[in-house]
Amino acid sequence: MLPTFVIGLREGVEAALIVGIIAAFLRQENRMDALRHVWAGVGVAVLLCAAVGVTLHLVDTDLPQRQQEGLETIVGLAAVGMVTFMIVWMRRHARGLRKELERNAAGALAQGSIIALVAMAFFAVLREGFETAVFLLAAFQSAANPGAAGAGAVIGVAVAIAIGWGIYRGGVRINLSRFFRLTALVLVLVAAGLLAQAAHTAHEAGWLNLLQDQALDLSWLIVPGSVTSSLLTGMLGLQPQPTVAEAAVYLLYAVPMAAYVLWPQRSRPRAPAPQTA
Amino acid sequence: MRTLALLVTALAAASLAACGKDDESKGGQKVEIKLTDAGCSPLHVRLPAGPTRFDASNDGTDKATEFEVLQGDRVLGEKENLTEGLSGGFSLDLDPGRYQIWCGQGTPKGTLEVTGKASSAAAADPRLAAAVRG
Repeated sequence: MLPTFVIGLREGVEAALIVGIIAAFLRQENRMDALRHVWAGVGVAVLLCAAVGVTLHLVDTDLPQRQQEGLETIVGLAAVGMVTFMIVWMRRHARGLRKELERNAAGALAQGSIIALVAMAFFAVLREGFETAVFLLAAFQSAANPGAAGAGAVIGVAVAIAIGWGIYRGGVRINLSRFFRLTALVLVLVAAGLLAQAAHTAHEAGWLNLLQDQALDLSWLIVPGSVTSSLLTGMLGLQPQPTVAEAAVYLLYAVPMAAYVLWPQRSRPRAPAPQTA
Repeated sequence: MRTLALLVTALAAASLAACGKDDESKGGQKVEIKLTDAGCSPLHVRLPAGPTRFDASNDGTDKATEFEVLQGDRVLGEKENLTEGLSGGFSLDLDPGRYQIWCGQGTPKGTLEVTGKASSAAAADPRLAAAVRG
């Protein structure tokens, strides 16, 4: 039961994390219309994944792993772009906003960005969904102990959804500037992790074959097959034994972005920036 | 939303088309790999070149849950998420040479030695051979 739980949790939490962040952000911007589209997109994505999973099962073929890894890489890179956009946007807007201005800030988020965020949530679910659907069916169908294996996988996915929901609720509860300060650093780590993860999946897709020596050994912390490993890998993109390529892109992103986020902003009344974001 | 639907349909079609390729090479040889606490079993495989179907199965370990065939740093084929009782695999058209097999982080890398001439299909069609080599 534990091995399938760990995989269900890991696959699920990667999608739940991105959807939770997007939902909290849109809610903070008071874009309830867009939020409804996010939920609809997630629903459609889940149905699509279930349909593809069942179809592959019926025609008795495996999910093409290489294409799946390619999809994960592309969506992962798009997610890095999205999270970076959110970090920069919040850095520009969160500070010095008075309460009543927070609501008006909604107008600053252009329609194009909204559509991009909704699409991102949809693709984030697709990214992990195909693999998860196939895995869930396999767990129920052919595991040595179908009941326990299937239940473990389902509970894993359910816990992942609960975590995503928690991120959304937690993100909504705090006010906008606190939301920024508390989450900006976390978002930097998440985005860096997504980038490292993209380097990992790009390698498995056959696209990235450079710098594949092991950079360091974190398997004492991220014990393969454990619940903590699925959370650390799923949410922060940390691999037990990251390669040089993974570690390099992680640091190249995380260090400058963390500096950008932590650098104190000069407190001066600045001219209202053109709000094009 | 319509563009999304189109994109997804295209992706699903591409996936199914990719699956079709597996069927073609089912005429070739089969290799069965067991996932164990110590990694892949057998850990060293020697076989003639040609279309090969790899079937990996997990009969009861939580240390190894995937199976990969690599050439140097390139992943040629992979099957993930094989928990206890699950099995699955992929097909490759193997040229002679030295490859590695691996059952995931925390397990040792094994060897795959492919002997003989290039597979007949690849030999007959140089473009295919180039494609296989990537």
